[in-house]
Amino acid sequence: MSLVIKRYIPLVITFLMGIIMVIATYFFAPGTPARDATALLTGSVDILVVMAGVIGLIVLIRHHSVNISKRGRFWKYSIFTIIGVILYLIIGLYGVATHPQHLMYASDLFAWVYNNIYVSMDMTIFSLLAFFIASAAYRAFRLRSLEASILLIVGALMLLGRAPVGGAIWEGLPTIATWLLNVPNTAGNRAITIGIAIGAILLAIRQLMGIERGYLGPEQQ
Amino acid sequence: MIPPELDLFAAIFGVFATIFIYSFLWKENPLSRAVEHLFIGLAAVFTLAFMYDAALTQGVWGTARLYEGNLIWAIPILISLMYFFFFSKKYFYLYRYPVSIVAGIMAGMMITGMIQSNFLVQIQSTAQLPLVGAGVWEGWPPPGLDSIIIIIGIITALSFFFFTWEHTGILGVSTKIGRYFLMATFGAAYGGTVMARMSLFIGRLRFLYETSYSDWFWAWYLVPIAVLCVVGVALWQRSKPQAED
Repeated sequence: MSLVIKRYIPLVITFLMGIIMVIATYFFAPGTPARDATALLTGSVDILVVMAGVIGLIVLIRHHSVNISKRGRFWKYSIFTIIGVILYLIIGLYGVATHPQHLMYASDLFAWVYNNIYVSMDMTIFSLLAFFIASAAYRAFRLRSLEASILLIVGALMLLGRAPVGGAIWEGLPTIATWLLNVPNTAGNRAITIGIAIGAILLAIRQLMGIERGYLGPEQQ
Repeated sequence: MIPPELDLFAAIFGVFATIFIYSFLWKENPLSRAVEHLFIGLAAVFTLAFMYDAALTQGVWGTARLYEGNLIWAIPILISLMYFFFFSKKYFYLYRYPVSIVAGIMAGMMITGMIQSNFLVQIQSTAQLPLVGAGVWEGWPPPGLDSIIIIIGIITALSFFFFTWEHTGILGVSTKIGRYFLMATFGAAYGGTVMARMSLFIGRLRFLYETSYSDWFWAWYLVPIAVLCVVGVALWQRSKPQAED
């Protein structure tokens, strides 16, 4: 009985939810009650994941608080994470209290912090990759294989063809870059997309059949 | 209403955060780590806020939703409270119920969505490539030749992911050609990524150079001070080599 409640019922729920979504999408026309039920289900996911986000935030705070209290590795930096979470959360809750629709992200101060503080750090951290990608190109070049050469030559042509300096050096470079993007890149991308689709569908089927159970957490609990 | 003085704070913070993060390129140091940790905290709350707004708009303020008395939208809110059993050892299994609902719905959406947008549409687009007709074999390169290259590229690249048989003989040749197409795709993605990241880098440089407040403060005034902070911390670290951080 215990095993039924702890493991089998969640697996049955997963199966039923997935099957309802598939059947409603393929066998019922838009506007029918069955198809409208899928809108309720997808809307429910939006609501359910918020609480998952809350749990994630609590776990993050707990992890860094424990790290500070135990003087763990890099504990001093955990203080910055806690400060960031608490300050931004207070701003967010203030936004919820004052916004006419009680929204958080849409509130003035929260959006201001996002646009002026968060984006500032986000852009800088992501632009770091511009430097690391150069060393990655060097490592690829050292491989001296045809595949690595194709990767680098296409990458270099794309860079030159897309940047204004490429057109200034030779007017044919933008044309070559456009052709590379539209023809070989399309072929490879389509193959990858089809491969991803097949893989994702199989993963979803495995999940619905109860073969993939990692999302349920540890077996012993 | 946001006080305009906050823009001065944003400029000062932006300069220090930018220089501290870029100091990572020289060497990982306490300043870059501090800003990264602060970013993690902000990112966590921002992600939650984004999801919260989507849920509130979807479940409460949307048409015919909870706000208008459609109480069915209270059910997912009540079920979502079961997530808190994550912290209970005894009742942990109840946490699996909302997780299984989300996993099931997402799996169903993945099956229907992937079949339509990522599988059928890609095959349909390939089948519609022009091979015959007026103007298909005119100009250079002719669109018909491009179509043939794309079709060959897709078939050979797909064969690369085919592991039922060993990649020898005709299949070996096909996978080899497919690998070249895949490398060209990765090269194009590489070029695009570099361009995007360089554009972000230029954006940060422009921020440092152009940001001002009330015609008396320019952000770049603070750049040498931020650099001195980084150098000072590096020298302090060097004087204490045994310290972990």
